[in-house]
Parts: sequence; structure tokens; C-alpha cells
Amino acid sequence: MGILQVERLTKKFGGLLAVDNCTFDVEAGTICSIIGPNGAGKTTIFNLISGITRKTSGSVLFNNTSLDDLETHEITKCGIGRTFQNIRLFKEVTVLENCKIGQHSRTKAGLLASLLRSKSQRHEEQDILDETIKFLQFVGLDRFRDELAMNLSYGDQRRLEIARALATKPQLLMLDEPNSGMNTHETFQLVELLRKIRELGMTILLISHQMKFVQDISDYIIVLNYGKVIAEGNPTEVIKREEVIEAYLGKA
Amino acid sequence: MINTNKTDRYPFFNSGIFYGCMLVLFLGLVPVIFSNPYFLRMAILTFIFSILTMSLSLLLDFTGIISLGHGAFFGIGAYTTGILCTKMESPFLLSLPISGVVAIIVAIAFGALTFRTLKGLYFTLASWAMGEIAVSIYMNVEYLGGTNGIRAIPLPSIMGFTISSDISFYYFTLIFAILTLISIELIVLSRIGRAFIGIREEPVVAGVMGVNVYLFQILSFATAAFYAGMAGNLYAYYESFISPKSFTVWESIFLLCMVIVGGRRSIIGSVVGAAIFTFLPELLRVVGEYREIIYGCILLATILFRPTGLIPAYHFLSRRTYYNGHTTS
Repeated sequence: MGILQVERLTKKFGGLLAVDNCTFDVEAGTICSIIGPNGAGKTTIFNLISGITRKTSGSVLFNNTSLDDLETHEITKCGIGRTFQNIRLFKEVTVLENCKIGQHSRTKAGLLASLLRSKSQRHEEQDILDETIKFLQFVGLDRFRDELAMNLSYGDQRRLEIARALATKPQLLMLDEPNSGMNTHETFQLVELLRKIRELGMTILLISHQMKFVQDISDYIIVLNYGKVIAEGNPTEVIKREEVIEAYLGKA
Repeated sequence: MINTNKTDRYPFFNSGIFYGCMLVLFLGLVPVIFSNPYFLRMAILTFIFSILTMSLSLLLDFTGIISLGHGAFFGIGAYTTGILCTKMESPFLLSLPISGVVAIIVAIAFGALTFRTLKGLYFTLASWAMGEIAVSIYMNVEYLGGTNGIRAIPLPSIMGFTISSDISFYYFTLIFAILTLISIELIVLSRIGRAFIGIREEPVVAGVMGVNVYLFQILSFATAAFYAGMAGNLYAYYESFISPKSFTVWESIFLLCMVIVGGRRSIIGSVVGAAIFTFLPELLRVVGEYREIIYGCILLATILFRPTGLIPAYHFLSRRTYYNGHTTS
């Protein structure tokens, strides 16, 4: 039984079938990758799982509970965190604050407690700060904590997105092209970071274009083309399959 | 722990709270020094308008919602007070919270209806419509006095003490302006404020971070409306006469100008904006009709040469300041 079970997931945009009857499982504690050519529907699947886009049909089960009627913030509360392909940080806010917002769903101080600065509110703020610094140290960004997010380098912005997603304390972390635009050195650091995250017991579902990166890191690969799952299995075996080579390189 | 500047030997004398105390002391002494009634009137109106601009800043600068309905909530508070005082002889301590609560109820109803489906400028258009509807209700409902408005609103009295002179009105409204400033700062520098800022920056991502975007937009809108309603209450008492033309959409646009000129991302900046646009019309009385041109030029110059406003970001409750503001440590 996987931690995430996607069953016959379908999304139509007008007449276009972006995701077509996708069924797959993600095992707990693994790094699972979704690969496929541009426009294969990878990001759409992420948006469907995290509730940003409404699905046409099918269902998503997380920890055996259905996410079907939940809204984005409720899905986050269930334990799914994610990053975005086109980095979407809170740009004009400091690194520290970015990461603090990530802890919203786990904290509860209301309007009245904030106005009165009640004891529990002050304790909670202190906890949020301490935890935030831990997350920033984990990804190696704590020295930039007072910098505006938009001033960070590209690679650091990607890492901040991961830290912010980790701050929601997810069981499943979904990364949308975490290595796009990164050089070899940055990619190497990212691989290290992802392995560290897996050691914490988190499950990772990621999207990528780069075969080498995916082969290095994944326990399991799902290949998508035109919204359909065309192959899945362990990395070394899947890449050799004819239909995968065809999707990537075209027919000989 | 995040440290403050270690070279500060007397951090208190460099903290916002110290500056705040000095400012309050100064403002407290002002009427003793300048007892000119004309000046006092301007100052009182500045305090009332600063309650409006600070709450509008919470919406505009911290939640990223552009509302043209703030004048309507101001009016709701003023009319509620007018009706309560002239027709039901309600005391101040009752009319103040009721004005705020009526504004909250209208804001929640309007917010619940619109925030789910309308984003950005579409919401702004809807809030414009709300502003127009409010004004036409004030104009056409007989019970509310129609175009004549409501006259002879009695002076407020708290536990036997009646606020009648301009000097007592000065202190009375000053206290409310300070309470508004402190409470809005406390909201902004909290978990709630962070959620608002998340919505301002990236609404979809705020949702992914666990913020109930719909609910928090309504919360921000209703909180701002609450302050506007109370400002309306104070205004009705001070002027003792209200008419629909004080609460039009133009008034809302004027409030937005005050917030933008005063300073983006700073609550105290909105107070400065309110002061500038209250005193300026009087100082510019000599140039007559040309003053509209001067307003326009001020707004244009601010946006072009100082897009962050006169006071870009300063939180007096937080030790540290940032260009974007917002940090607690």
C-alpha cells in the first residue's frame, strides 16, 4: 500500500486531455520521479494532487484518506508540501518570514491572542522562530535569513522553496523540477539534500527532465506521455524500454 | 537568537517604543501650545482619517486587496451612530462598538460573496459597486435623512463626562488613533499578519502553505471595516452632522491616495498620508480651485520618484526595520 494512491486521475482543459486516466502508487519513504516530455501533464498532476486545479474525474488517496473534496490548505494540513517549477517565493519578504509562513497550518494563534500577545502566542512565536532557523540551517540558508527572498541566487531560491515546503512538516514532499536551471555543482548539492530529506523518513515525489539526475536519485520512475502513464518501474529497467525511448527520442 | 545591534548601549532610547512615547508626549502637548481652534480641527480630522488610512493600509499594503469600499464602511459607522444617537438616545459606549460590528457584518457578507470568485481588479470593481450602492442608500432612504443627512447628533459622553470642547475632542480622537496604530501593528507582526502578507505576495502559494486564503481575505476585510466603522462613529460625533457626500467612492479613492503617498508597507506612513491630505487643502486655500492640480502632482511625484511612499517601512513595535518591513525578533 502506497502513501499516495492516484487512481484513474483525469483532467480535461476544454477539449484537451492533459491528464488521461493516470493510476500510480508512491511507496512511503522512497524517492519517486515523474518524467516525460514537455506538455506530458506532469505539473498538472502536481496541481491536481495539491488541489490548485480541480480534477475532472478519478481520485487521490493519501494515507488511505481521500483528498477529493479538500481545498489546498486542507491538503497541506494532511501532510503534502510542494514547490513550484517557476520559483514562487514570497519575493518582497525576508528569507526568515518566507519560512515562517510555511508553519501557518501547524500553528494556531488567532486574532485575539495576537492582539493581546498572550503567553501561548508568545511561546508559539518563539517556537516558530526556533524551528524556522532549524529548517534554514538544514538547507544551508540561515546566514541569509534577513535577506529579501528575491535577492537570493537562483539555486538558493530553489533551496528556500524546499525549506518553506519542509516548514509545513509534510510526509510527502512534491518537488516540481527542483534541478532546472542548476549547474552540475548545484545539482550535486541538491541530490545530497534530497537524500538527507529521505533519511528523515519523508517521501519525495519529484518531476524532472534530466535523465541523469533522475537515475541518480530515484527509487522508482513513472514515465508520462500525452497525459498517460506509459511505463513505470525501477530506473535502470524503465529507461531501456522501447516506449520510453520512443517518447523521448522519437521512432527510429 | 537573532541579535540586535551590539553597539547600541542604550537600546531602549533607540527603540521604536521610545520614539513612540516621545511622539505621544509631543502630541499631548500640542493643544497646550497651539490652541488655535482652526489648527485643532485639522488635527482632529487627521486623527479620524488616520484610523481610516491605517485600516486601509492593512488591506492594501499587507493583504494586497485594493478596495474602493472603505468610504462605505466609514459611512456605515457614521450612519449607525447617527441613527442610534438621534432616534434611540444611545450612549457613546454602546454606539461605538455597534458601529464597528455593523461594519463587520456588512464586510463579512460582502467578502463571503465576492472573495471566492473575484480576484484582484475584479474585486476592486465589485467594491466600487458596493460603495455606490451604499451612497445611493444614504441618499434615498427617508429614514436615513436622504440628501439632507442626519443633523444634531449629540455630543458623546462617557460615564457622565461630556466631550464638548475641541481640546477634549483632540485627546479623545488621539487616543483612538493610537489604539488603532498599536493594534494594527500587533496584527501585522503576528501569525495572522504573515498569512496576510503571504496572500499579498502569492495567493495560490499561501494556500499551499496552509493559509485558508478565502477566510483570511474576509478576515482582513472585516477587520479593516471594523476600524472604518469606528472612525465613522467618531466623525459623526465630532461633526454632529453627516450627509452622503462625505462617504462617496471619491472619498475612498482619496483614502487610497493617502495610504500610497504616506508609505507602502508601513502603518505609520498612512498616518503621515492622512495628515498631509488633511492639512494641505487648508494651506492651499489661497490657490483656490487649482489645489486639485497640486494633489494630482503630489500623487504623481510620489509614485514616480518615491514609489515606496514617504515612509517606506517602519514598525515601531519591532526593533529592527527593513526595507520591506515585517519581522519579529
